[in-house]
Amino acid sequence: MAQAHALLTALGYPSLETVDLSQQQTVRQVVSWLESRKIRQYKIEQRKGIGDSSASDWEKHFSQYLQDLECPIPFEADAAPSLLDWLLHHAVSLEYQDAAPKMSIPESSSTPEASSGPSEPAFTFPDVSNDDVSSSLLALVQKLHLQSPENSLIDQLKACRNLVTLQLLPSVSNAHAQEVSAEAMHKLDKLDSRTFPLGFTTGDKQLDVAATVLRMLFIKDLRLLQSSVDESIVAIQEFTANPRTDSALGRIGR
Amino acid sequence: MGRTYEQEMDYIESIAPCQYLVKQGFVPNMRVPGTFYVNEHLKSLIFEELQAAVAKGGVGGFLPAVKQLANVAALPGIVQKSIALPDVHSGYGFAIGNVAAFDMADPEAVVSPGGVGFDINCGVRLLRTNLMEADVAPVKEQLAQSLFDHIPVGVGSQGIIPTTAKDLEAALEMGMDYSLREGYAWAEDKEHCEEQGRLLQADITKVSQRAKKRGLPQMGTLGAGNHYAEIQVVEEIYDEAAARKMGIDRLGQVCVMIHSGSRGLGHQVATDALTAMERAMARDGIQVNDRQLACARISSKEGQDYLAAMACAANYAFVNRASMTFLARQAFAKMFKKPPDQLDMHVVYDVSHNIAKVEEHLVDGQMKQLLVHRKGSTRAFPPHHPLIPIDYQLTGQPVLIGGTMGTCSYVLTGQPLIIALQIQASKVQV
Repeated sequence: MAQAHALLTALGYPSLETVDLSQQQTVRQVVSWLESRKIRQYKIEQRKGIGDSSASDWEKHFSQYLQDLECPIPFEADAAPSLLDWLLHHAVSLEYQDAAPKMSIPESSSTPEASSGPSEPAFTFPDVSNDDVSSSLLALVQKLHLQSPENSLIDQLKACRNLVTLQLLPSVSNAHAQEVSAEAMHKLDKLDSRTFPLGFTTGDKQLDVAATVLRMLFIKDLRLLQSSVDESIVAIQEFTANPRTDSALGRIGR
Repeated sequence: MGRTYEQEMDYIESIAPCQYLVKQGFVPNMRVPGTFYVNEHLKSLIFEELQAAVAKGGVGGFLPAVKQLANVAALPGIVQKSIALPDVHSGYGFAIGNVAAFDMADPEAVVSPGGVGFDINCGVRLLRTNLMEADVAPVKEQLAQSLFDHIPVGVGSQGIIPTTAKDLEAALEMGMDYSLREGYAWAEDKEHCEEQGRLLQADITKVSQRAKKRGLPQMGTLGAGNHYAEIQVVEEIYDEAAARKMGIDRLGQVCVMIHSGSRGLGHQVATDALTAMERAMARDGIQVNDRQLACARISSKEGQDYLAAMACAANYAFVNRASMTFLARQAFAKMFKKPPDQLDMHVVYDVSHNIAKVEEHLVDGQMKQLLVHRKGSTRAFPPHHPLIPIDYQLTGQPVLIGGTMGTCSYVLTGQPLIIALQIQASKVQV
């Protein structure tokens, strides 16, 4: 439900506070609104069937509508939440397709050709004076905790770029890293009981893995404690230790 | 009239491969059965010994180990079983290799010096090095001589570490903490030592002057009999991971094994206790099958005095092995002209095989406080046991099985219910 609300927010659904998606009537209204404002699958005159949320044959129209949209989820009585979910995602992706050319930044790889003409800027940027763009930028700057009244817009953008290219992108889109972590997860599943014996079993494999991890952490903690004890002993030995031998005392026995 | 060998054998039943049960009735008053573990090779020894004893009609000579095992099963307060581990053979009162636990909650339960032995806290300590057999081979003779110079051997030998009466008292009370204080041991040595090298119930007032006098000049000496300080070479590795954890993971790696105990001091403590306990037995009316099984109730003064004095002797043995470790490190350092830490001469583990300790164990599903006598047998705690060092929490306690001088020694690890064979170290003769 929370996700549906987020998607509705993104789509700009009116009077969102009062929307209760557990009500069948509300769901029908949302579907009607999505078609008329966002999806626009039918011509205006064809939208009557799903537009009339109190009609007794609404379900039939809805089923037909989903077929026309090529929805992969089969139409069933209890599938309503997932159908709505799919519809919302579909609407968002359509919205994005419409808006993408306006919002996107040209790839930096295209700049070499662009820079051949001296009058052209190094790279093009959406019009900053546009309200949409500037408010999105401000939101981004705030999200990244980079806002500062002294910095000019250019400085803030530079800071954003640095953070995104140096920190965010490597951690988010490093496919290799993800592969490695997937492998690690796989290994975790197969924790070798010979190398990492748990000493007991709970009967639940995943719980055993968790218990093993806890034990390893505990051992690590203990090792740190023991090392600090050893360090203290060594520190005290500085004052007390004075080992001596005197070979004159030695006597071999029989 | 005595039973024939065949009649005796009616009481002994094979219950599992390598395990036999000694049924109640084999000797009088058995409170629990006995059990012993032998393989084909050792089996003949134990049964021939019994056969020979029957032939003599029970007169003269040693009691056979099986009889001793059964006599221990007749002691008051014993729980579950009297257990004999390989290779059990007869000793004073208790057979060597005998483990017996007594219920601390039972007012009748006893402690017996025979169950610990005369060499209190006799034990084995293994040091590793980063040297290989090839490094040592050319200087074998000199190294052996250097060890002899540092660690005097034989009956009546005296050590080269100057020890005053005050030092001795501190050693008896503090065990390896004394060695640490004086700088004979490394901080890491202590963690790799059973009980951290110190029994806390030690009370020096319970150790006789005579015992102290015997112990004073012997600090840092091996003693005689089957005791040794050997230079050994790793010959076979059965469990790579555990061997790596112990730092003895290369074939041909040189190790030093020290097998020694509490010298004359421990012997005197045991002798003093036996005398006191004979009186206590008469007073408390304790009946035993064998006079050598002199014992006293754990809660009695004699019992408590013995445990406190035994702890002192055990501490002395820990200090003795720590001192010999120091001396062996010196001998190696001089020979290879490197400080011992550069030779990686760490203690792998130090474990006692002659001791009585209060431990908690599950007996028939119930947690009980037991006084466990181990004579010629070591404990072998499994992974995650709270009483084993952090470094061995995953492998289980290293169990050091010292061979007879010149034969193979083994390092095993403690496992739940079973003991896994791991490393075989053969020896370079010294």
